[in-house]
Amino acid sequence: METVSYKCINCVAPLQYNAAKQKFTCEFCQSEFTETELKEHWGELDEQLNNESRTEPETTSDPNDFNGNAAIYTCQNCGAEVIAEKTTAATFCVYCHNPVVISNRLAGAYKPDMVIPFKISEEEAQNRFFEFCGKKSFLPKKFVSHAQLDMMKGVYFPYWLVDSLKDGGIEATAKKVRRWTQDGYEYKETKTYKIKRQGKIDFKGFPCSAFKNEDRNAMKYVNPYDDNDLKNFSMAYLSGFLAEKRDTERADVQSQVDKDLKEYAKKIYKDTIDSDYTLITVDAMDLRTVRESWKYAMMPVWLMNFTYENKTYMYAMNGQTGKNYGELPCDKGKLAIFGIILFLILTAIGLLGGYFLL
Amino acid sequence: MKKYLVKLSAVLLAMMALTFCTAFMVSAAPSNENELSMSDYSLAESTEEVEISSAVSQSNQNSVENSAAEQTAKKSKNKSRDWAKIILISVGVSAVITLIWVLSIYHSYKTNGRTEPYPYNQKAPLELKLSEDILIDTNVERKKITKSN
Repeated sequence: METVSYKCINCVAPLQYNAAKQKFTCEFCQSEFTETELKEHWGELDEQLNNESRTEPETTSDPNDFNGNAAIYTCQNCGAEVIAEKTTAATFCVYCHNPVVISNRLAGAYKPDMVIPFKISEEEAQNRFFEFCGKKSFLPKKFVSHAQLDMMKGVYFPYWLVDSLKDGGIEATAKKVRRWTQDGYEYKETKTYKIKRQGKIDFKGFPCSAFKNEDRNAMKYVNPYDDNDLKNFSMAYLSGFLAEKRDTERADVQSQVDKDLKEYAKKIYKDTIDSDYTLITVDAMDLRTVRESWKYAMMPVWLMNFTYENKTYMYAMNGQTGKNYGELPCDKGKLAIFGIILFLILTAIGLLGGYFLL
Repeated sequence: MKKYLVKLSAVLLAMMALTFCTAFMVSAAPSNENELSMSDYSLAESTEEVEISSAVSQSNQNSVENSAAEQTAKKSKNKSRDWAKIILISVGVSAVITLIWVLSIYHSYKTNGRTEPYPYNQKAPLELKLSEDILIDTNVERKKITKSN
């Protein structure tokens, strides 16, 4: 299995992408390189890897397979043999901690079109996590520990970004109600309108997770990303982070994307109807796809798993904007104490109210 | 800061609502005043009977005294019943508010950060080709305003 390790131009130590500096840094000689400098040096190799037309061989036919779900690669730095999961595209050597990109998993049909590099460094992600936890009084103490923070990892997750031009419209019934009084009578006027809206909607960069192994909700709700930071894919950005290759094809998610876009289109058409109307009912909707293009992109996520009372929770933070999502564990003991105190206070207030107002 | 103020005002509002709710429910609950007036009435009746009847016995006088004592006992019993109501209502309302509060906190931990994943207002521009609002029906209802309204 082919691997790539991006080396420092000066000392040949492994390079990592530094999210805070938005540069590639060497931990050994403290050198820093811009994307352009690195491209000049590594461009040829990167381009060659990116343009490889072959696809990755199925793991079951690979002699280095491990139960069909994992594969063995050799670290270029220390020569150790390391097991990687079927979908892992970038990882670290567990022995020398050298960042490794498994190149043939991101080549050919699996080559991503775009990437948004990490903008939030590990330190900043940890600070934001602490800040976030400070606002949550009912989190278990262990959840906010430093040991827990060590489990935070930066991962590039695969997404489909869909650009779709839709044409269609809606037909709706809406009512306007007016009330007034005159000569001892109360009047209620109800006007019923037939509403039609037609037009083209240009959906840009609609995200859909291309990875089914992880919590799809987490992958959905760390969105949105700012598309202005989208760059053409280069494997160098993955250096120093983990990355997963897609395991979901376009055909697998097409129906879900169509359904989601239809819901959004309905909202967009409805938003053009005056807010004076009450009781708006959409009677019919028509939506056709004029053109559609799909891009395969890698998006940055800071990820943390936490096991509490035999249940695993996933906390995810958008590696570009810092938006966080996660089903959090709730300390039921703390919540019970809070409930009892609240109950006692409310009862006391109720009793005092009853005593003084009797 | 704004969030805390909103939370604080929500708490205060809930407390005020609870206090007024208790007071209102206590005042609106059927009291024993009717029962009292009925006992007063029966007392007056028995007193009248005492006055009219020339052959009033000592035992009847004793029964009047006894009924007055009963009345006082009933009043104190009613007061304690009112307190029982206040306690019951306070405990009930507090339990409901506490339950709603605790469940909403628990729920917020399950759905933390669940916001709109696609900002369609910014990323999906609409080029409107047809916008039509046609009036198809008008209905006017007339209702006489009665005094109770």
